[in-house]
This record gives sequence, structure tokens and C-alpha cells, in this order.
Amino acid sequence: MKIIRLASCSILFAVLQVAAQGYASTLAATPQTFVSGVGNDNNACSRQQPCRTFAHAITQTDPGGEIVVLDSAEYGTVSIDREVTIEAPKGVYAGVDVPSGSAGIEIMPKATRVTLRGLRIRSTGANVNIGIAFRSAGTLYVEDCILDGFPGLAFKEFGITVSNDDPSTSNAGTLYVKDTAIRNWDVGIKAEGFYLQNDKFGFGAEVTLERVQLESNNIGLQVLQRHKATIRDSVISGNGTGLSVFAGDFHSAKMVIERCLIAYSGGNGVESFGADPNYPGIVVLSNSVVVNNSTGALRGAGGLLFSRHNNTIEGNAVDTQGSLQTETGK
Amino acid sequence: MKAKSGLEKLISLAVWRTTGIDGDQTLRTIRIALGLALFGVLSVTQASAGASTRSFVSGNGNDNNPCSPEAPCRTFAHAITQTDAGGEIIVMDSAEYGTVAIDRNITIDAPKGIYAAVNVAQQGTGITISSPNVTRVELRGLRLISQGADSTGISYNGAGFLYIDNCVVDGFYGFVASKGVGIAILNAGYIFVKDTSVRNGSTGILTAQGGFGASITLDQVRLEGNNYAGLRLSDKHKATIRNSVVSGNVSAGFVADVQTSPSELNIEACTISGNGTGLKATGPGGNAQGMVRISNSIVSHNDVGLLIQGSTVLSAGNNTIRDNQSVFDVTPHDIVGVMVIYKQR
Repeated sequence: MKIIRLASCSILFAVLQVAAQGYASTLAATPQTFVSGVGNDNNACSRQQPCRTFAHAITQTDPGGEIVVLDSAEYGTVSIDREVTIEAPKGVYAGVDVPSGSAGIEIMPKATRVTLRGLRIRSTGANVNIGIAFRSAGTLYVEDCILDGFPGLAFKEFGITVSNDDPSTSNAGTLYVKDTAIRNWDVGIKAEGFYLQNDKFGFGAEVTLERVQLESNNIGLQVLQRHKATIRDSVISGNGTGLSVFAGDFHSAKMVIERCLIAYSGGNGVESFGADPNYPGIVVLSNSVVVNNSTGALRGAGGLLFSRHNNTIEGNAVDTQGSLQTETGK
Repeated sequence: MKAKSGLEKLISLAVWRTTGIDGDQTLRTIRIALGLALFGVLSVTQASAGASTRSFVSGNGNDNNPCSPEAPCRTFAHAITQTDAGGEIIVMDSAEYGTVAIDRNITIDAPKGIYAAVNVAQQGTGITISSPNVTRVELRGLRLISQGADSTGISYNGAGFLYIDNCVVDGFYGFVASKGVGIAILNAGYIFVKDTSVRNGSTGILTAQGGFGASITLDQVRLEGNNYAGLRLSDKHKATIRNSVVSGNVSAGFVADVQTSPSELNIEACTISGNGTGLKATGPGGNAQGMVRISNSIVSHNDVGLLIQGSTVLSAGNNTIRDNQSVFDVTPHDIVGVMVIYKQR
């Protein structure tokens, strides 16, 4: 009996030892890496020895892992080539300065699932700049972020672009944006296509926006051919054009708007256009307030604009242009 | 001159409204200036990379420091002098950071979880935005606290865009409506306020009478316990408020009192309750009428719901307006005057 006890004890010990080693090796494999304003990229990106930049931390992070921001600083641009979460918890300021002619955060084709939380991305130059360039066909979550364009007049600057650059697929990705302010860009969020444009069969992007502020951009949200967007409970104010749909030659483009405020646009509050009547731009507007724009709701050439007739479209220089169609509540 | 983009039109209009100067002329100047500024920015960036596009302040900081993360400054007033136009001041930990006069485009950001207060002395102003050079200011996560009568929390007299997020503006009281103001909007421009409380003042948000009007967007705002008005809208200003609570304001929740030129107020999905009067829309009538639209809102438990005299109030017909009655009233005073229903589309 004693021998059995002793044996079971030593087995248990061995098991614990293996488990401990396993745990240690998991830590070293870095499912979580850490960055800090006082970190150093020669460090291991551990909690005790954090790194300094996102660009280095991602090379030390497992696919599916997380980069966690420990304190307030600027962390540089990063090209994301794997599944990852970058998280600045509330209480921490994590800036990303976008130099002239580049992107703040690029989501490359291999990054099939990326979450960005709590980042402040700001353009510091006036060339073609992109806050977040979503180039994969995967899924991107943007939460609690602020994207600031270059202060001044409209340049070729984009807050978020959805443009699948992956030649291996003609489908575009899925974008979720929540509790995020996007300001002072040429286009706040732009859903376009690259490989998509030449392909008749791929799926467009699905863009879902909730509690988003699109403020003082040249265009707040622009959805081009084949893509679809839904936006709810959001403020679209002080833009040149608020929400814009422009369908192309072979594909429609669609936007559903629910419970939004669209105000103070220098041009159109919401607009719908298309290049080919067979593939119209489609906007559905419901429970929203469209006030004090130059033109409130514009149904342009090749566009359809459906209303649930529960919207306040008043006090614009021109309230509606082109006849609104009826979308019946079901 | 090349065709203007929508945003350029907006800026041109803002400049014209603010200064009365020809917007196109100014736009041309801005374009040239921007070109030069850009050149300047690029040269500066090369000369001293990241010298001060971002400054840091801390409760343990010192204004003799360079305002870096390792050696933060102590006050906003000093940090701004060390920050490039278009830069940011970041609050690192909880403290009081003093009043500041903003003379350049800037963001002041106190991330959530950090308490960043600005104490304002009697007759003082917490954050003053007065220079015409200031076209873009963002204030996030600040607590503006009055320490004496007739003080102002945030005073905007700039030209362009002001964003206020996640702030609390508390206790700016005075003995007349125009003194003791949470947020004073004294000039034209685009003002965006979100997730912000303005409480216990004489007037929560006050717009100046005279001059050009501002375009104001309020979302998830609380205007509570102010003595004269939660929001007072004067001639030419336009305000749109949604998803907000306007409650417990002693005299009135909203005051839209037109003198000679129309103003405009749009109210969507708000709770207007427990005020002396929920909405006072008054004016001389005729062509100078103010315009108020109200939809999807609750107007209840005020002494008087809507008071409409010489001004136009339009309802989408989907508001709950009932039980507005003071303890001295035998019958409710839900709508005093004539409210017109408009058709939604």
C-alpha cells in the first residue's frame, strides 16, 4: 500500500511538473504580448518586459493572440498579418500617428479576424493617408476608437477603407464599427473594391456600424458597387456629404439607415446613385432625422431611395430631391 | 479657382459666418497657407521628430519638464505651449490640471478611468477658445468644476469645429441667466457635444445673441438642474439634440427666445421632464419666428410642457406629452399655445 501511495505521489508530482512546464512554455509562446511607453523592442513583450511598438509586438504574438497596451503613449503604425486583437483598455491612451503617404493600421490578406479596441489613430500628413486599411476578406472589429484626419481641407485621406487586395479571393470582408468617432477625412469610411472591380462573381463587403460619429468629413460613409452597409443609432453631422451610395456597372450597392441623425451637410445628407439602372444604388431610410443639410435626401440618377415614412426630413434647403419610394414596415 | 468640395464649402461658409469675410477669398488663402504650413510641418517634422505633436501631463508632473511621457508637465496651460498646433495633450493620471486658454488647434484627452479636473475660480473661465486661429479643438474626458459665482466652464469664440466628448461641466452658477454658464457658444462654428453632462449652472449651454449662428449637434447629453435653462438658443443658431435628458432645470429645459432673426431647434428622442417649463419657444412672430421640431420625445412632469408664443413648434405626432402640471394647478398645462403636426416622410 505504501509503495502504491509513493508511486501515485511521484506520478502526481511528475504530472504537476509537466503541467507547470507546459504552462511556462505557453507563456513563452506569447498568446498575449504587452506594449508600454517605457517598453523596448529588444524585450520579450511580456508583462514585466513590455515592447515599445505594435509593429514589433505583433511579430512576437501568436496568431489568435492579443497585444495589450499597458500605458498611455504613441505606438506607431502596424501591418497586421495574422489574427490578432490590439487592445487599449479604457483609461489608457494608445495613439497611432499616420505619417504622410501611409496607413495607420493595415489588415493584410492573411489576417482573417482582427479586433482593434481603444485606439486613437490620427493622420499627421497630407498625402494619401488611410487610418485603417482593411485589405483582407476576413472580419474586422473596430470598437471605441477615434480616427482623426489631417486638420484642414479635404485631401485624399480615408478613415477606414474596405478594399480586398487579396488576389486569391474575390470576396470582400466583414467590417463592424462600434462606438467610434471618425472625423476630418476626405472619406470617413469607404467600401470599395480592388480585385473585386474586375470580377463579376465575388461577394461585396458587409459593413455594420453602430453608435458611430461621422463628423466633418468630406464624405461620411461611401458605399460603392457590390458592397452593403447598415448604420444605426449614429450621428452624421457637419460633413460635405453625409451618407453616399454609388452603384457600378455590374453590381448594386446598398445601405440601410436606422435611427440616425444626419445634419449640417454642406451638400447632400444622404444620396443614392447608380451607373446602370439594372444595378441601382439602394438606400433605405427609417426612424431618422435629416435636418439642416443643403439637400436632405437625394435620389440621384440610377439610385433608389426607400423611406419607411417615419423620418423627419425638414429644415434642409431642399428636403428631398427625386421622389422617395415607400418601404412598408412588415 | 477649382471647384470646391462639400467640406470646403462648409469651411468657406463657416469663415464667412464667423468673420463676415468672403469665404472663397479666405479658402484660397487657406489653401496657400496650408501648402506653406504643410511645407513647414514637413520641415519641422524632419528637424525634430515628434518634438511636441503630443504632450503629457500628470499629477506628479512639473512644468519645467519637456511634457514627455517620462517627464510629464503639471498643467494644461503649460503643456499647450509645448504642443504643436494640431497636436494632443494626454492626461496620464487623475488630478486637477488648471484652466487653459486655447490658442491653437489641439486635442486634450483624458482617457476613461482618469479623472482630469479643471477648477474654475469665481468669474473665471475653465477652457477659453478665443483665437481666430483655432479651427479644431477636441476636449475629452474632462471635469469642469466651478469654485465660485459667475464663472464659465467652456467658452467658445473660435472659428471652425469644436468636439466635446465625455465631459462633466458642473456647478457654473450665477445670479443672472447670462452669468454662470456651462458651455458658452459665442461665435459661429460647428459644435459637437456627446456623452456630456452640464449640470447645476445658471444656464447649461448658452448661445450668444447677435452675430452669426452656430450649428450645434448634441447626442447623449444631460442638461440637468440648471437654474434658468438647460439650453438657451438665441437668434440665428441651429441646434439638434437627440437621445438626451433635459431634466430638473428650474426655469426651463429649452429656451428658444427669438429677438429678431429665426433660430432652429430639432429635438429627437429626448426626455424633457421635471423642469419649470419643458420648452419655451417665444418670439416676436411674423418672419422672425423661431422653429422647433420635436419627435419621439417625452415631455412630462414639468410644470408646463410646451410654451409657444410668437414662434413655431412642429411635432411629428409621436411624442408623449402629458402630466405637465404644477402642484398649484388644477389642470395640466401640456401645450400652451399652438403646436402644429408635420408629416414624416
